[in-house]
Amino acid sequence: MLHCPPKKFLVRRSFFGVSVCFGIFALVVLCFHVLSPRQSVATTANVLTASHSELQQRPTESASPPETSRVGSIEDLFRNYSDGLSRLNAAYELIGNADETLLLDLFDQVTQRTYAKEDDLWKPELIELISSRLASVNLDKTVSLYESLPLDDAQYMLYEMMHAWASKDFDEAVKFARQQKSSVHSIVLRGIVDASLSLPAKTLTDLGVELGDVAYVKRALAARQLALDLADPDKAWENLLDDPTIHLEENFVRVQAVANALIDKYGTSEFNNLIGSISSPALSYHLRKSTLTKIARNDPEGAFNFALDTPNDVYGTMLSTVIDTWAIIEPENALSSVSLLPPSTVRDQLQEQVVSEWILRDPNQFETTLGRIPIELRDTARQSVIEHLAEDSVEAALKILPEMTDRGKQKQAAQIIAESWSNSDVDAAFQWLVSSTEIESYRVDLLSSFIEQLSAEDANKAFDLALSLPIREEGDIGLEVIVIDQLIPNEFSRAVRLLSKVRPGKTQLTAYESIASGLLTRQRTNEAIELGTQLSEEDQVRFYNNLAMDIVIEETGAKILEVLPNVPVKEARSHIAEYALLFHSVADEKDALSEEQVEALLQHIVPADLKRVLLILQP
Amino acid sequence: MSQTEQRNVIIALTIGVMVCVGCGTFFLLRPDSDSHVVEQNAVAPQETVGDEDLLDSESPTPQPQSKSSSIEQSRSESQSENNDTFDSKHALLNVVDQANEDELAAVFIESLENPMVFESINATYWMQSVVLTKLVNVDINKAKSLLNRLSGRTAEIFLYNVMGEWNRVHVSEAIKLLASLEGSLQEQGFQGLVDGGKFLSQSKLIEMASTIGLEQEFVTDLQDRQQTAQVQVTWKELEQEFENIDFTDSSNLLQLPHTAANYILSTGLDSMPEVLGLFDKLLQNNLSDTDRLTLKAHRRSVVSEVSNNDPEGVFEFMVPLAKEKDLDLLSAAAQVWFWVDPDALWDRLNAGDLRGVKRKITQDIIRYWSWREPDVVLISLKTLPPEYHDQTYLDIAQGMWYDTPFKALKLLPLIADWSTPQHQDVFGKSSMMSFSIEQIISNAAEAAPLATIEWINSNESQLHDSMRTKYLDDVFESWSQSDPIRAFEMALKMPLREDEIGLEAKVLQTLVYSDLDRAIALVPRVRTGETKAFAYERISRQMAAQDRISEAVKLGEDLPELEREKFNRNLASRVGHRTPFDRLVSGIGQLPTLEMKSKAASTAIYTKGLPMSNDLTDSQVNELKEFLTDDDRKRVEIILEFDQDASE
Repeated sequence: MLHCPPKKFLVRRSFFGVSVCFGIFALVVLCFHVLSPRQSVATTANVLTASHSELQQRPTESASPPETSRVGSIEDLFRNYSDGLSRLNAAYELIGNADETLLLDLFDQVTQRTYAKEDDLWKPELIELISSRLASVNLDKTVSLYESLPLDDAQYMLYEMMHAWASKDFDEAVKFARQQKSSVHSIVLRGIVDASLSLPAKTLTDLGVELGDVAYVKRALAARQLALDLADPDKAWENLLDDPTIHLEENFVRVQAVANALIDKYGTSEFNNLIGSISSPALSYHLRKSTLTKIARNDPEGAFNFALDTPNDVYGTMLSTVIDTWAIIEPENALSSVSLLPPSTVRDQLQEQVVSEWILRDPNQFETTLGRIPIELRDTARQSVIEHLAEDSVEAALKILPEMTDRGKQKQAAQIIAESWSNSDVDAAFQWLVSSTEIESYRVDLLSSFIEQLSAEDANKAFDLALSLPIREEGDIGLEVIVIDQLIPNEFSRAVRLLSKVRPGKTQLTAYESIASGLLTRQRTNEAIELGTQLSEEDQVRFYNNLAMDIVIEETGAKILEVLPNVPVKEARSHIAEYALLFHSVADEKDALSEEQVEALLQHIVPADLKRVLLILQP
Repeated sequence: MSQTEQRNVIIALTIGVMVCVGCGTFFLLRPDSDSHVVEQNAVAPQETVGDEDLLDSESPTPQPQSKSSSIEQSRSESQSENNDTFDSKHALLNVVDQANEDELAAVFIESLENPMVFESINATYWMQSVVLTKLVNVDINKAKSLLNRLSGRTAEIFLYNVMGEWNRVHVSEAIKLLASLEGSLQEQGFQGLVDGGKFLSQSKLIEMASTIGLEQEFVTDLQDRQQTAQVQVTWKELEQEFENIDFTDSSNLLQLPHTAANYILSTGLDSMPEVLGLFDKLLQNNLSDTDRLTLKAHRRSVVSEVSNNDPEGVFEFMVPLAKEKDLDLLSAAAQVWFWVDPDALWDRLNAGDLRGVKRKITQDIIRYWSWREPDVVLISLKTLPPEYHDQTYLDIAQGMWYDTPFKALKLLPLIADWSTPQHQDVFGKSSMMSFSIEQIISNAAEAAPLATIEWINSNESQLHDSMRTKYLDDVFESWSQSDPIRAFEMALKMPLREDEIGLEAKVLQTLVYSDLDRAIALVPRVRTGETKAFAYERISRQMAAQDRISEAVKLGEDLPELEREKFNRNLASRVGHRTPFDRLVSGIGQLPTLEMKSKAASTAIYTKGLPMSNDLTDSQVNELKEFLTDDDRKRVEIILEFDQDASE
């Protein structure tokens, strides 16, 4: 049986009716009181307001022709709207205005329609939306509809249906829930709990246990608690301070919301009281940060001063938090204040932070804004703009790069360009890296990063491009080694296959060392040792010496003794034996070598090192 | 006009305008002074009278009302709210659909600070998800930058909640956003999608996870964890989990401490010793070091997790237990207690019964939090005893020296007396500190040598001259390993102070081990004086070690006469240390003059039997005597006679 609408609900409806007048009145008040003191003040509400009235003027997809003429059926949603948000908006419009008959008709359209693969999630969404309306209009009909459908579709009706049902009759809803398949218990529970949050927590928690999702009940109760807290933030704060679990991360949203409400109520002077009343260092830190962000939106200078008072803020974390907001709303003022700080790396970072935000407020006005930025910070601004432009317009980014005088920043900007460019056109990016005179002094670094990045996406291409780069000086290492190193962790056999294509000299030696290391970590020690025999005698010395420690780390004493004779370099054999004995000297009893093993290893130590090794072995 | 009043006016305006344009259901937007919530709150307490478990018992304005009627009323409200939520969502979609990037960002930021823009926080998360959906399509970087406004775990919790409310029809935007994120933020976001319950098909979830870049295993683990989190294990089941432990199954292994902690939390602290006993039993097995460490870490995690709700209570419970078993467990409880109420913890640690363990626990706490939450620890430094502040700075610096070496450097001047030489000369604590400082500087030098040099020379480092020189040495040593050529060029530009060896010689000293030929090629450019002699000497040592004695002699010819003589004497002496005997003799043979041969031979005889030298037989000694000059022969005979007497 349906209940009469409560009085409050009627009040709301009447409120709806007078809102037109109220809006006009409020507009006048707002213009006078709000906008004049600080134009930068922005809240959800005024943004929504401003945007909406402004948007009335804009020609958009959803603005013309009128909604009603565009959407008369479910098919219209798919025919007339390609953009997800607009289509959803239109679906709300269509369903929101429908009476029971139309809702039932729409429901049939939804369930009988064939969906393209990319639209398959629209079916459950529309079922849920229609059910939400239908359940409030005719619950009995909704339930019978639910029972007539296969569960695959019907399950999407459950949340709204159970919500409506539990709103009327909790016990009956629960009874019905218990009869449902366990696979949908979680959905059923959510509908019931969300409609019954005023019931005792224990009742809901028990139901959560029974239907298998206590976590959801906890989350729902926490959300409900937040609403209660904000109705009386003073009392809520007192309660929070007495709560031994106040410091837990999951409580932070609640703490933050109550603190914000208190700041709204008493003003920013409450800041120190709030922070000072908390004993938990972590909570105090996070609350300080979030509250400063809030204050900064209305009183950035005040927030900046609060941040300056933060004890031992070595890295200017709190100042940076304020600047995050201030730089967006009043960059010039923010920069002036930051520049008054004593010289330090913190000041430098904050200045860069302001400039980066400032220039990105309107990248199209880059040149104009740049003129207002101090000369010494202009490269920071250019770097930020390049990072912004690189994704969509490499050409525009490239034009700015030569204007930069700070090589370090220019290199970073060039790296961003290369990364973005290689995502859209690898060959063009590579060509630029090879030929640009602008990047001469750090070309090798950029090419190395480029090859490394490309290795993850297209290792063959990266390898070919690396091979196409000359090895300039004897002793330099070809960049193909980077590709091999990148492949070793996840595509080892592929890395091994590329080994034969590596250029001779130090490049080859380095690649062999990388592969050998990869073999060792895969317990393929014999192969690692065998690999080195393909090298020249001179290279073998370095190869096996470098491998010595890895062998000892990866292998047991017995295995080391087994493979030692296969190592062709005497010096390396000695090193391996010495490292093994060194480990033995500090090992627990269970990991220690046997006396025979120690003796056998000592046979491999070169005489020059023998005394030293014996000294190590002395107890 | 107060801020609250401003806000009320703004919100009222919104409500009005929204209604004006036909989307007026925004009356659900909640002004601070809106009576609606208070009114609704007033309903709830009526249901809670006499029931301690009731959530609404703290409601500010209880109204006398019968229980049944209040329930009915709240149900009815709930139903109408549901309709209102539909309308509110519709209105919001209208606005977001047409809003520009900046407007969306402003809406988003405001909603972070005032999560109850709607009556239900879930509706706010839904709104945020819609805003993010649009931003992902317009400018994904903007969406990411908004998330970046939240720090660490807060961002994770937030994204978890927002993803839980994400519209299923905007799944491609969710995937795009999550794919652009990394690590635990990405994982938490995905978990939100899973827990949100909108995507019911496992195959769909796995497909989404794969597009995001998450492993299929991660999804199944998530779902398993979701299920196991609901299940309360019995003692038998817990025992069985320990018996069947598989150290190669990381997801199960990760779940183990949670299961154990949940068991303790549900059965009471008295079960703690038994549960910890399960770990101890496993630790007695023959485990690898890694598995042993993992198990000990999990044992600590159990104590930490149980401590979260009542750290003081758990600490007290652990005091007798930890003394018998492991102090680590007491530290685990103390770490949580410190995070909640440091003053109370210090008071307790000052009590007589903990005198012996206070220092260790304090150090554990500092190390633990310094590595995990350095910014929080720095700003909360006053909560730590002053005598531990230096250690705190050092611990924090050590925690960040790898990822952010320059942030680590910045902390060094905050350590008392760091700039004076005293750390270098004292053993024990100070020398450990000195070692750590050197590591931090070396790491910074490896990452950015020039910037490190600049910092050492700057006023910010606050270094005493002698320490400045020492740390510059460290930087060049580190740099000469990663990029010896640039290090050498830079070293040549550094001022050469009186009585000091030029840094270029130090660079070559390191370079000789990795590329001797390059060092030989560079050495003529070394500045004259002690620096030059030092560099030539270091190169000749390595040349001798590589049997390139004749080349070394030739290299020495570049030196002025006096320095050359010293160079040759040192070279000969080094040859005299060569082992085994035939290599020694071959080396002596390569020396060009009688004097040098004699020097090498006499060195070999003087040092015979010492570590790193030859243990010569009499006939070998006699063979070496052939190389001696008359003067050297006389001296050698005296020494040999003396040795003979001593041995008799």
